[in-house]
Amino acid sequence: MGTIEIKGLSKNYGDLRVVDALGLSIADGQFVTLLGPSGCGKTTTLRMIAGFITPDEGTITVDGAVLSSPDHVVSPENRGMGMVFQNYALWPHKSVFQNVVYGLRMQRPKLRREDMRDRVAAILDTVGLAGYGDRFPGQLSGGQQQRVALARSLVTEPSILLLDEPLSNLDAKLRDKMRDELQEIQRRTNITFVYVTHDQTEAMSMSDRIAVLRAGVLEQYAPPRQVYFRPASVAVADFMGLINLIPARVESYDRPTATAEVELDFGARLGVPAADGFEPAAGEQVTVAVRPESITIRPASAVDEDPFAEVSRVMMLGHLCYCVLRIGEVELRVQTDNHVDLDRGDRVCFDIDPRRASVFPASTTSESAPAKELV
Amino acid sequence: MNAVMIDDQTSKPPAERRARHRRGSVSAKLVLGAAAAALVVLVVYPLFWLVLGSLGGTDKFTFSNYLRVVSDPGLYDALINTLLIATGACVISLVTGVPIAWLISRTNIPGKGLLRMLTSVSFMIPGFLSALAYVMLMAPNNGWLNRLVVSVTGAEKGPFNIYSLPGITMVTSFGVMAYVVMLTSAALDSVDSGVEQSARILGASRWKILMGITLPLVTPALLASALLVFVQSLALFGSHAILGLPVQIYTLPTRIYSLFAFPPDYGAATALSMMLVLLTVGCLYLQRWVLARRSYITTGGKAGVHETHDLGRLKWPAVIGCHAFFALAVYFPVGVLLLTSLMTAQGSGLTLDNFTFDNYFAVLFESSLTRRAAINSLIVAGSAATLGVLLGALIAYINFRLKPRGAKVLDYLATIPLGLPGIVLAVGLVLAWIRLPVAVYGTLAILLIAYLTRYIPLGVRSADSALRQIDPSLEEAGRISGGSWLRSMAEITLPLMKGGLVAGWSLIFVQAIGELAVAIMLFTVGTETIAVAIYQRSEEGHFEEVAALSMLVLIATALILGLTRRLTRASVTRF
Amino acid sequence: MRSRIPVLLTSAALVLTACMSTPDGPDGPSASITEITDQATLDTLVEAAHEEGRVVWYTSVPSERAQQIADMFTKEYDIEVVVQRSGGNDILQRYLLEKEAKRVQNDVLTISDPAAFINLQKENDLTCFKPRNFADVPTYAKDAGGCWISTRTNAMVMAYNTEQVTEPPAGWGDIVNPRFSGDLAYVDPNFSSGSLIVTAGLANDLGWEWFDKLKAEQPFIVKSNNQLMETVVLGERSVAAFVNSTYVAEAKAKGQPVEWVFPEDGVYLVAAPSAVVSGAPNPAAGKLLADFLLTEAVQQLMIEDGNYAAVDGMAPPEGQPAIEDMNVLDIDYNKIATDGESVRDQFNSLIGSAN
Repeated sequence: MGTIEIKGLSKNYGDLRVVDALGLSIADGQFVTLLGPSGCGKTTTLRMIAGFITPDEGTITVDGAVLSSPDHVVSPENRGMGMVFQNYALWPHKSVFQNVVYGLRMQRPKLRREDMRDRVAAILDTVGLAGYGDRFPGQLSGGQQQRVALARSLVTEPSILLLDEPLSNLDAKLRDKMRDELQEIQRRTNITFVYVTHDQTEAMSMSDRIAVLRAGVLEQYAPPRQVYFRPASVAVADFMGLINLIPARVESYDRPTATAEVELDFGARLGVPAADGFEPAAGEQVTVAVRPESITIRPASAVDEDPFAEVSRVMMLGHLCYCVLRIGEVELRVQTDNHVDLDRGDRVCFDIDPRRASVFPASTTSESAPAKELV
Repeated sequence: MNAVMIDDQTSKPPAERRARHRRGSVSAKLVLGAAAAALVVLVVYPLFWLVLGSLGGTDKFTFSNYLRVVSDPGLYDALINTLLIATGACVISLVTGVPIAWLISRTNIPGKGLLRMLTSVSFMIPGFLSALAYVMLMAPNNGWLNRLVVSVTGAEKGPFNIYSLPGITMVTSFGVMAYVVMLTSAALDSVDSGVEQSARILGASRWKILMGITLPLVTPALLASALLVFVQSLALFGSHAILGLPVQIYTLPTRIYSLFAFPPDYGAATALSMMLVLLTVGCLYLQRWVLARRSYITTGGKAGVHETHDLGRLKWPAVIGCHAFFALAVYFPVGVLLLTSLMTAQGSGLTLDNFTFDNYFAVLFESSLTRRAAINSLIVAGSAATLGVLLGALIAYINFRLKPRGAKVLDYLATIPLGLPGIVLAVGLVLAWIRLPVAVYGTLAILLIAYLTRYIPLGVRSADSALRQIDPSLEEAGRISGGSWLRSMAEITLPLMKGGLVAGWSLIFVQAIGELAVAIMLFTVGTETIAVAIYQRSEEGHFEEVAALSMLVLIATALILGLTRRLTRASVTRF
Repeated sequence: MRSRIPVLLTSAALVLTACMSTPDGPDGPSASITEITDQATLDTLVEAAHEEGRVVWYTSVPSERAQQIADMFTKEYDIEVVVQRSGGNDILQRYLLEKEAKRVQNDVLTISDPAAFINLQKENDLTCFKPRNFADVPTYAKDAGGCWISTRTNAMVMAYNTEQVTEPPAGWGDIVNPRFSGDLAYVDPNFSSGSLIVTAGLANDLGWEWFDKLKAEQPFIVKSNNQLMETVVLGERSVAAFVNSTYVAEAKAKGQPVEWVFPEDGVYLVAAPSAVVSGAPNPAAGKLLADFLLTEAVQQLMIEDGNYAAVDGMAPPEGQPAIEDMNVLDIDYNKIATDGESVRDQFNSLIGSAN
């Protein structure tokens, strides 16, 4: 079993509120990612789950037992969890075998020596390091060290595994590979994974659910697709990837379908779903968020009534292509396939897929996040 | 214990887990609390008695001791002498130590290993031994060097007089200049060559780079080591006593010592001690302040590969310069001790019929005192070094890892002994422990306590620098894998600190073996140390045996240093 | 290793006895013995001393000589003697600290400072005991009740290096003559009790002006008689202002180039008393050693070593004049007992500042 129930969790460092009234339920066997920019409180939260940090408020309950509360914290060694550290934290004075067997040696009642040896061998095999037991961490490559760290945390068969940006020190190719393997291991063992990262691709590709944190506050806790397409806030939308934020005015709002009829800054009218919990009133200024891939371009014809724009930049990334369109005061980033033939100054028409856009209150648009520069 | 038991029984489902947790955290709190308490007892308790003693003791409260001390004109002579010696030692150490450090760290000077070793040896020779050696070398009338000059030039009197302020200053500086070399070369190593090369590309000459970039970067380290040298020179007792007392050059430590002699004037002795403590603690505070501002040195990270300057034609002059200095600091004193130890009578020069091993035989096999003293020294220095690094490791752990409220206090407490001259510490310890019903005074335990107090800063510092190199996650990984705090400490953190701890151990051990000021005040029948034996024999005038004993001490400490260096594969004297 | 537990037990016992004991020492058959009157008391004492097994002697007698006496004692009574040799004031300081800590280590105290013994007696620090030869020691060199008693007499003489000095000093008035400027060595009264006595005597007889003149000669201040002789023999300084004649005798016997001068204007004879201290861990053996120090054999040894005997009627040491033939200067020990500290302070403020 590995269910985690976090309620009202807060932590202050001096005046800084690092984690603010966080609530989170993690079901057994789930792969949950704590996602957010650095300083958002995700690592602090993970370390509170691990028992390294005592919360100032709130509780962490695992399988019905309160493990952390402001006045009582079960120490890390008695939580039966596993943890993979960002820098792997392998003990340089112990061999791979000694590193991995450590957790088994700590178990009570004592395990038999042969059992320990077998289990270490099995887990090393799982992570693809069979036969590396006698090496020392210093003799291994970064990827191999990563696998040892994983083996060390898995060998005790914990019901919960905590991972603190485990892939951030690997190069891009290895990172992709390990991502697959981590997911594979999680599926097979059915261990609850709590994974901390600032990389939304990692979060999207592996998680069952993503918890997006910002400045200590949980902004959204949902499956990847929902976080991506139905972000709870502009901030989440922005953090999950490139997004266009278009000023607009509400014409009308239909409560049953939660859809707003809006007029965009440059004149187009669309029926766009409102963000969860937002009920815009007619006449209200709002922001419409649209992802670049939800806009399609086609060449402009003289008779077209659709809005048209001027291409101000084209960026070919290989597998796809980004265009920046200018229409009035607004710049739109659009993702196209890689064989469109466009040049600066071309006039194009575009369509926005309203079902994949969201309406947010305008107040959050003004300063929050000028859309990220193209990479 | 009861509270824990009740808690066990009343707790809900994971009762077993909670109970284990409780025990785990209790052990951590116990061990760390005990370490903090030990530090307080070691440092604060004797300090408390010093302050109390200086203010009239338990009977009455009075400032009369301070008034008495301040109104004594002799105090100002002593104060001025002390400051002159410390300042002079500082200057000599910087003028010799900085170039040597630079030559070792940054140039292709031949024999770097030898120069490093000589620095360690100069650090290892106890101050009072240098002083005794220099009495033999440079006593104004019968010193070897003076007689040599007289016989060669036919002058009426030799030119050297070790019984003088310059003499004391010189001998003092030999014992402390190693600090400058160590700290400066550590700082030089941490300056990235990139900052020098970038200046080079911009067209600066080597000399300009050295003066304009490298030296300013290591200036905080220079200042810090200068202050350390200053403080250590203030507190040296052996050389001040041997070279100053005969010609009435008094310093604060020797004044305190004579105030403590029979009939003792505890009031004045403690009042004067407090003044010396204020002086040294003030300097240490300044030193920490300087060091705290040197962030731009440490951010340089690891020691990178450094460009080695080619000395060119200056190579051999530099070698000669270095060895000329070490001739004074090491070759001469060790040489004269070695020669004297092989003579039947030191006055007669080394000839075949004056050559003998009897002195070694006498101190090794005939004298029960020296044998006893050697065993005592090994026991006390060994346990002080062991307990010192362990306590140091725990204190450093509290300061550096846990950083609880009040950690700063612990940190300062662990630094204060650096500013406690041995003689002052001994006065405080005598007052503090003498009245307790537990048998501490008059046993080896009081010496152990004294050494532990005296060298705890070394233990903390070695442990601290070792700890800084270990990422906290290594220990956390141990905890999350199910190991208790104690277990993680024992299996992960301490073993990883091994190199630093062994280095700290040998540093403390070597210093403790040569410690005189504390031992001379605290020993009794049966608890003599080797330094006490040497000093007592020298007071009786048996220079040949003194020299033999000294040589044995030097050889033993050199062996131990070499052994630990081999063990850790790191130079002990580089922290 | 085997001995550790007994040692621990003994030290524990020592602490206990030290804590419980009255100033008269622990109870026991030997405790009441204040005088050896007959063979029976001696036998009782020897038996008790045997049970104690050893005796600790704090002494300012030079190590070799002290060890020689200790060996004689061990041979006579089969009791181990632990000798701790240091300067007189050092020994006193140590004893007082140990008394304060209730960890008295020694049984017998021997230093050349009757004034100090007078002070110790005032503090009830001494166990009164009259050795067999008590009556033969002159009255001025002992406590009437036997609390301390001189065990040898030191003649404080001048000494000079015969290779360097052609015209030796004649006496106290002559030695502060500028012709000895830079040649003089003087034992520090802060560390040597013998020197404190002579310094007090000189201050009393010649006045502090004499020390003004001494200071003008830039004396070399050493910590002990031994160091003083080493200084003169090696020629670092050529004239010793005063030194216990026994050291000169020893140097002369070795053929070293030194000679003594018995000052024409008077000789200070300093009694070097011994006493058994209160709370001594081995009081019986202590008394036995105190008694032994006055036996003819030990007294004869003192004479052979160049000291004068403490007991009357023995020959002067070889080459030295008989006491009757000397101009002996009186020393008021009681006055020094009360004034000693101020003498030291005065000396320090006169000589003790280099500038």
